Amino acid sequence: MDLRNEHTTLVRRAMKHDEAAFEQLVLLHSEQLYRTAYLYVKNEHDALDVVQETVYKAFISIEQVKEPKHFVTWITKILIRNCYRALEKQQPTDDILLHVPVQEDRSRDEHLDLVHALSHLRKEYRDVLVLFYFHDIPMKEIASFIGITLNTVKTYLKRGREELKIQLGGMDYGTARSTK
Amino acid sequence: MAQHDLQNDYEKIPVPTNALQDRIRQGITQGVAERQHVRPRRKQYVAIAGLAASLFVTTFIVPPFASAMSHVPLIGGLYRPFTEQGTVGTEIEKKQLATTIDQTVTDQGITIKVVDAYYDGTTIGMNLTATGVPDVNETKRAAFYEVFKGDKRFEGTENQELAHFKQDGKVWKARIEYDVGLQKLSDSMQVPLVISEMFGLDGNWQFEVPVKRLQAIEQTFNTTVKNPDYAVDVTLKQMTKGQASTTFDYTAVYPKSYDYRIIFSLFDDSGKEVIHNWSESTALVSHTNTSSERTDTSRLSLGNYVIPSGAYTLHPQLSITPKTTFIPLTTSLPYAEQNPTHPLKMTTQNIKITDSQVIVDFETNAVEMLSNIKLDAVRSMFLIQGNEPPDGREIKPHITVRDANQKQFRATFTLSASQMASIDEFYLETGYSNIMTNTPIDLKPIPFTVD
Repeated sequence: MDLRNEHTTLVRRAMKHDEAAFEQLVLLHSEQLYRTAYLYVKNEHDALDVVQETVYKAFISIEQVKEPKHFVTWITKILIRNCYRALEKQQPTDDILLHVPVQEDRSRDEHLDLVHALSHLRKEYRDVLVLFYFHDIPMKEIASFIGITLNTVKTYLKRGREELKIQLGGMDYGTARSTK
Repeated sequence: MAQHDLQNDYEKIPVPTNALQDRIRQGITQGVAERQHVRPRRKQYVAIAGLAASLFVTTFIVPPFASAMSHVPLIGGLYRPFTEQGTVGTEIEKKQLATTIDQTVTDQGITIKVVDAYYDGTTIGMNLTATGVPDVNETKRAAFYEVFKGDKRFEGTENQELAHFKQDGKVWKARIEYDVGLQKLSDSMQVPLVISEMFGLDGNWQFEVPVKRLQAIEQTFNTTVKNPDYAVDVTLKQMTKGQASTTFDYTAVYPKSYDYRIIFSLFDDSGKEVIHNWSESTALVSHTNTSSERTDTSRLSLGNYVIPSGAYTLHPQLSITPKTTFIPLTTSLPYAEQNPTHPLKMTTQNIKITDSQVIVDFETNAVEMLSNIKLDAVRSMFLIQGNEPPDGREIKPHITVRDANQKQFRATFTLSASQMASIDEFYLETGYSNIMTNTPIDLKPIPFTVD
């Protein structure tokens, strides 16, 4: 069985309330879910909370997945919604970025650059960038997911990258992923 | 670095692997607990829904159940695996009608035997045993199998399923059953069965199971009843009376713009109800669409029931599923709900928000005892944060009667301080759509005679 079929099979089994298949499926995507949660909520504790909440909600409503191929989009949607809820609960002083010493040299972690830069983007740009680059969701599906046109997705991606560049002090992000 | 790489930076976000796995498990555990909490209630409400259908009274159904109803029970998939009692196989076993097979395959140290098989009119079934299985938790005590693998006639029928095993002494036993739909199969054939996972272990257990169709009687009726008010036609096409089961094939033509479903009850010639509310035994076998109509071809399968000769009437009922709407608490009032095709009416008269409560006054024309309406409202109304489908965290009300004659009620929802802080995000589900779905409209009965 190839990987895609295996994934489809896992989703189908999970949709039939097979707990083991669901766990296997979530574990497959767990790092991706955690990293995306971290991008939004900016600390480990809240990111883990968001993942747990997402897993819980996904588990009890897995039958809402229309087709197995939409599973990743579907669970990412739940995750991002939970991220925004978590952000609303965060007090301004909880923003760990305020506690992260800003270093002007190049030795700081690149992932903190990314977290910091993304957190300053407009919500629309951030969501589209995250879905496209980190969850490998095609533009068409992003458009349907957010409820915007395909052209708007392309515009958001372009402007999002431009804003990221500004946030990073002129350093550009390479477009490692080819556009679909 | 000269240039950032999005993917690269993303993957540099450190992942606390152990903590993450713990949290995933905790999330699943929460979900399991939630499901166990919901499941028994669903069973309870199936019975209540049945009562509502027979008495034609208003019954609110718990939202998760109504949601499930809209997807599963009335028209489910063609594939119907049964490992529980009360299936075709139960009667086959009792009458000793299965053909002994005794094919054995061993892989991964697990030996699976197809003990026997049967083909009763429309259903193919097999009894399996397994030995040498590993000690795993209950959810993994299953075989992942496929019948008719690679057979294009069965494409699109979700021909992969799980068979759950139960221990019986030293062996584990499971039964699989498959409804062949409208396919005309030979009376004698080889059915390929492939098991690719047992108790969590990947493997390959392949069988070619010789199956012979048991004697069955087919009767064609092609009797149509029409209901112009709802633009619905129901046609009883055919009945297949097997040795251990009875199946009815019917078509229903609906306006495409409405979400309609048909449920049936069966009455004998004395007017006694033989089978009530045949919803869970129904499988959709095909459907076609035109620009304005949808035609569903469905099969009612009654395992463990062989219909005796005599005169009967099949009573179809039309279940209408309107789109569930969540109304914002700031909606203009009164907010009246009445579907143009259904007599039920419900009006939300007033919504008051206090420091800790949301108080909703409503009235209904439901023909039901006050205590039942209260009970139903408790099950059906809820407040939800956001307007997404309920996720088990909805807030249920306390219901009191304001005016018994006018059938006016008050639903009081108590919220926590944090919920009150984001009260603007809350929506109200009045429960109207759930009643509609589960209060079917009687259609004209279909008479027929079993030779």
